[in-house]
Amino acid sequence: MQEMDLYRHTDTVNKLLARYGVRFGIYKNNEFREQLFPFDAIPRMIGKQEFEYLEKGLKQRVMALNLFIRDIYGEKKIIRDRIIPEEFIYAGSGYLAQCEGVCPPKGIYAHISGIDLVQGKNGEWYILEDNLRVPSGASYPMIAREFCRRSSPQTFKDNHIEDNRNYADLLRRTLDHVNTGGHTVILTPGRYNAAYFEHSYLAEKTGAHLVTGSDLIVEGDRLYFLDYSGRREPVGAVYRRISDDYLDPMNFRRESLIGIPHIYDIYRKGNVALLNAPGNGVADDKGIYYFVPKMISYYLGEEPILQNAPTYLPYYEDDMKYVLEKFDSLVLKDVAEAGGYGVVFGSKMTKQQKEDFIALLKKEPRRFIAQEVIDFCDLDIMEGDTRVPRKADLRAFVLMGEEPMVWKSGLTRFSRDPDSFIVNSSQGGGFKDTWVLSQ
Amino acid sequence: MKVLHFAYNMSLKFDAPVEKHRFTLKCKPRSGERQEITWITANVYPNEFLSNAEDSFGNSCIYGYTERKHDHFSVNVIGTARTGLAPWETAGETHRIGMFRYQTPYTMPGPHIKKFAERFSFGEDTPSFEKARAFMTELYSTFEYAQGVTRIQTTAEEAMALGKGVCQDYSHIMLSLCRMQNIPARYVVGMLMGEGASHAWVEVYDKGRWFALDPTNNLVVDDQHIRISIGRDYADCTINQGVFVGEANQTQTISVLVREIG
Repeated sequence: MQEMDLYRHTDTVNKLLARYGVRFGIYKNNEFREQLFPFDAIPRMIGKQEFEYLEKGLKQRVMALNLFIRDIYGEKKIIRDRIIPEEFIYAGSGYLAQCEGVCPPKGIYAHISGIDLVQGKNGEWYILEDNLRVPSGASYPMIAREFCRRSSPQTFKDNHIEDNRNYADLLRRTLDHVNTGGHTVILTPGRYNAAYFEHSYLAEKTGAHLVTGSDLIVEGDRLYFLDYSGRREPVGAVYRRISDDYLDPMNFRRESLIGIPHIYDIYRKGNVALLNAPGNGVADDKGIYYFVPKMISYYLGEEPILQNAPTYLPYYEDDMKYVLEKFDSLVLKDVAEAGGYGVVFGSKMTKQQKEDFIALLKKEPRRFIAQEVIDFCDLDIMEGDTRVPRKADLRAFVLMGEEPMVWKSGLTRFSRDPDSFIVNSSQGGGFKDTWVLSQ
Repeated sequence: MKVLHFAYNMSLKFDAPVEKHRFTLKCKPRSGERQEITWITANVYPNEFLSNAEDSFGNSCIYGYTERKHDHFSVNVIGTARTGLAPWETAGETHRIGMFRYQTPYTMPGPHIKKFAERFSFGEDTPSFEKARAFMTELYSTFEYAQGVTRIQTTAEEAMALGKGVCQDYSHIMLSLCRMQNIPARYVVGMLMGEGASHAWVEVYDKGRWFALDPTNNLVVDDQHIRISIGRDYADCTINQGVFVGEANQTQTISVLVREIG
């Protein structure tokens, strides 16, 4: 790859990102710290045809996931037909009984999905994870692109790159599609949230109001936004960036102070849209991931276009046998954890750790999945003046409006530690822009 | 079969005024296969905003909001029910009742419940209902009824460790034991003839039917019980749930009257 003028501007872009408050808040040992989200100027490039293939596969996957969630909270055919064992649904953390029988506006459950992929050295793409609850990350490549264009306009004249600044437009269309009549708001837990920058940035770009729980009120069967003068304005769509648990103390966790009492009751009646729909975490549980290819065949009658990373469920006897045999070559994930937590590599355990882990695995087989460690394609990053290879993944964003739409960009995250496979920003990783080539 | 008149009255007194009070009340019995509510009326005070809804378990809910300051809140529900119309309730398709097969934080067994469960051994063909009845009989003769030793937050395991408790605890332990045997079981809140407060019992699934068992009284529910709500545990059936703004202590008074009129 030729050296581009853009690379000389890495520092400038990072300084701009810092100045604009592109930060990631993390809690560690009960302490809140904000850290910058380091940007690397060498983009991930995806060719036009390759992206078209990804696009098709991602749309198919998110369509199937939506049908699955609708089925689970409705007819439950996939359980009846024994495609998925019942306990993976009911004993998982994502299933919420409060969602039984509730159909969200237009029947959409996963409006904004962040699907994590990696590319193997063989060029093959694999799905690593479906993030359907409150996936974040789109704002980072959006704003980075803006600063890159500003720092090095020539780069964007010389290269044919799909403009990614239309994300706000896709999001707005997604929000408007399900709006039940009234304002559109983005609900944030507040500035101490890890993704607060994103909440405010997306509000600014979509023209939605950025609100916290105390700005919203349920009266009768409607939701209102209290404006600066205390007037009540009806709200028809809430892009909520708080988790199900905290959304409504009258229906979910009772101690929640950031939620809106009774918002779920009026949602149940179809009087407001919540994006993403509560309870959709039933489909992004790591245990359910294993079944997504089966869902695609079951609901769509199609062959899955994109493959999962080879995954084993110790729940099944055969898989358990395999996992114990090949323990050292596998990565094990606790299905209840996210954000790069609860992920362990068989090869990196001491003898004692391994014994303890296997004992736990045998005791609670449903709690873990095991995956082959994919030899994924490294991407170069700049470290000082030298290019060094690092592990990286891609979070693609799929928005479900009238039709599924795939954003022609994505968040490429990389691990700064050469020995680490974990790219999560909560674990100190950095990010890159993702260029989808237009010809 | 009986015709029962019922009156449920709950009042909250605050020792200082509160405001912005939100509440969800699950206190209205509904008609079903086993009982018919022939008339019912519910009053809530104060009630600036009131709505009716049905939750995911099919329970009737009244929810609402009172913004202005108040130091008293009350609900009363009165009506007439025809009870004991059927010995069981027909359950939906089996794959749709799966949620009642899994333990919840209230029913999760610990060492005490597991120890208790060792007392039972069943043949392979023992019907779920018979297993549940065996649990009930044993629990009734071992567990001591005592008020004031457990709280609404007490789990089945904690109550079992104490060896005593109230109807909520009997019911949670029953649910825990049934679910350990892979039997779907659900929590019921309702009213019982001769009880001055709300009551709790369980329903147990067996071959497409829900059977109701009252472990606190060691009886198979017939026509003296009026069912108000069902759920996976107490949390799904909380009669009165509320949040308000204000620094006040509250005193709750509940009175229930069920008497036969026909």
